[in-house]
Formats: sequence, C-alpha cells, structure tokens
Amino acid sequence: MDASSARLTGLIFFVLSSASVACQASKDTYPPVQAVDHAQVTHLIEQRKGRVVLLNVWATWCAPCREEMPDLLKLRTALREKGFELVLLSADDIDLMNTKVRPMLKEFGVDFLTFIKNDDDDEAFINALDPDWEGALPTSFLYDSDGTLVEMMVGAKTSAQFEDAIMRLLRKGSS
Amino acid sequence: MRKLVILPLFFSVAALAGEMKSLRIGDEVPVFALKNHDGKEYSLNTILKESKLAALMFISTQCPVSNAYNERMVKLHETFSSAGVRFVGINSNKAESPDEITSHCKEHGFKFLVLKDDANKVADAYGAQVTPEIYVINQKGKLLYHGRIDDNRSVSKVESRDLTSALEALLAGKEPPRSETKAFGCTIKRVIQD
Repeated sequence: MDASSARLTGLIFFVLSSASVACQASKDTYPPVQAVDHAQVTHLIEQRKGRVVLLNVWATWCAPCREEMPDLLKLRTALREKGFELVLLSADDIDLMNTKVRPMLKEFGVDFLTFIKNDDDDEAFINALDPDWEGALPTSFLYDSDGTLVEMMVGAKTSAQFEDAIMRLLRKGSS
Repeated sequence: MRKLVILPLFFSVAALAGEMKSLRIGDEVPVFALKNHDGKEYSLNTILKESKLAALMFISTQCPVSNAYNERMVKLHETFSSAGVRFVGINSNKAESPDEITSHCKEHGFKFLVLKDDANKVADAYGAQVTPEIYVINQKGKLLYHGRIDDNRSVSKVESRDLTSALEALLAGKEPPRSETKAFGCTIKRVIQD
C-alpha cells in the first residue's frame, strides 16, 4: 500500500468511526466527544478544508482554557455562516471523558461534536499538531481554508485577538 | 566555562530578554542571577561551580500540572543531590509572588531553591513555554537535557521517567537515552512587553 492509499484508508476509517461514535454519543452520552490519536488528529483539519478552522486544545484542569471558552463559543456562533469552524480538542486523560470533560462541555453549552486525545504518547500528539509546540495549554491552531496552519496561538487570547485572526483569513478567502 | 565567567551576568540575560530563543541540546545556556524569596541573589555561574549538573525547573505555584509533580521533584532532589545534581526551581509566572512561592515551598517540602524570575526574562532567554519544563546543564554551561520530568502527570501511569534516565546516564558519563522530550502543561504567564 503506497502512502496516498494508506492516507485514504485512514481517512475512510476515521470518517466511518466518526459517524459511529457520533451516533453512539447522541444516543448514550451528551455532548458527543470523539477520541482521536496522534495519527487521526491531522484528519480533523483535512476533513474541514474549505473552511477557516480554529483548533483549540484545552483541558478541564486549565483555568485560562476555561476562561476563553465562552468567547470561542460566541465566535463560533457569530462566524459559522461566514465559513468558520471551531474544533475543540481536550488534552485531558481519556478516563476523565464522562466524569469531567463531558460535564464541563455541557456546562459551557457545547452541543456539537468535540474531540479528546486518546494517545499514550503525548509527545507524538503534540508534534502531530506542530513540532514547534511545547505542549503548553491553552493553544489554538488557526488554519486557512486550504488546511494550512497559519498561526499557532500559545496561551490565553482575548476575543478580539481570536476574531481579528479569524476575520483576516475569512476576508482573504472571500476576496 | 571560561566564556560563562567573562560574560557579565546582567548583560547576558538582558540581551536575550527581548526575543524568544529556543535552546538546542549542546547550546551554551544564557547565564542569569535571580533572587530567592529572602532577597538573596543566586547566579547560575555559582550554581554550576558547586555542582556536576544543574537541573533548572520552570515551575508554578498554581498550575495543576506543575503541582502534580511536587512530590516527584522532592524525590528527585533527594535522590540526585548527593550525586552532585543541583535542582533549582524558577518561577516566571507574573501573578505568583515571592510570598506565594515561599508558602508553596514550605507546604510541599521543597528543599531546593526556587528563584523568582521577575518579568520572565530568564524564561524568555531560555524560550521556556510550559510548567513544568526542565533544563539540565553541565559545568561548562551546555544544555544536555530539555523537556519533561516524565510522561504522565498521574504517577500511577508513568511509563517513561525521562529526567531520571537522563540524569543517571549523564552522571555515568553517557548520553541521555532521550535528550529532548515534551508533555502537556500550563503556559508560563508572562508580563506583556510593550
């Protein structure tokens, strides 16, 4: 199997497993949270090509992550129609999915599919997102509509900082 | 070592403070002088002269990840200090005061120094991003290990004790099995420079 076939197989598997997990989540648990490993995390961006994506890596133990979450959710609501997508990815231990992650997402009013790291190798996960990233939380990765990483935003950011960065890419896409 | 001694302490940190450097293994690290909670100043030059290796640990009083490692840091200090490893905590978080650091040290039984890095100049000079984040340096001021203490904030799930392995190897005159590692942690809350 060559590299492109392997990538396609991985993508198909990922899409099918996404659908399966999402269905299961909507039936048994709420809000839906899908586990991804370091090989699958890049597919999150590939699947969303054509839209400007902000992938926010957060954790329940991270106070600045919790503080910026309401602003991110407001931006998602305000800019979705303009081609923006927010992807939330929890770096919490997978064992905490039902005891901490889902309850906190519910508290924030998250009603869409989000993701959680399911990987024994944190370093591989960190490097899959960006080899220059040291793993500090919160960090948000901003991708243009081609799926290219444009900016790694390390540390808590204000709503205005997020909006400016996102709008720059949305305007670029529409011009 | 000669180069470290002749560099003025203030200059070497100040020159790098405005830009974020990412140190690489084998690099000569920036020297610094920082104050302890009691106001006494400690320089990296002096620390290196008095030990075989220095383990600089960027830590926090409030970060849950850093705090998950408090007991492990105490044990590392107990295990390796007699072999000549000097552990030094550095707190670069803008909101964590010297008083808070002192209380935190007492509460958790830290027997190693924890120095306050005002305006995060040392964190900037080293390119430190996260707590906890470790830099192991030899007497010549060369960086030999950079990264995490181990691979899981939960002690029961640790599989790779990277800092311990690195120190054991270095003390035996060998290369660390892994000299650069990463883990999730808290950002260092920096003073915003104009």
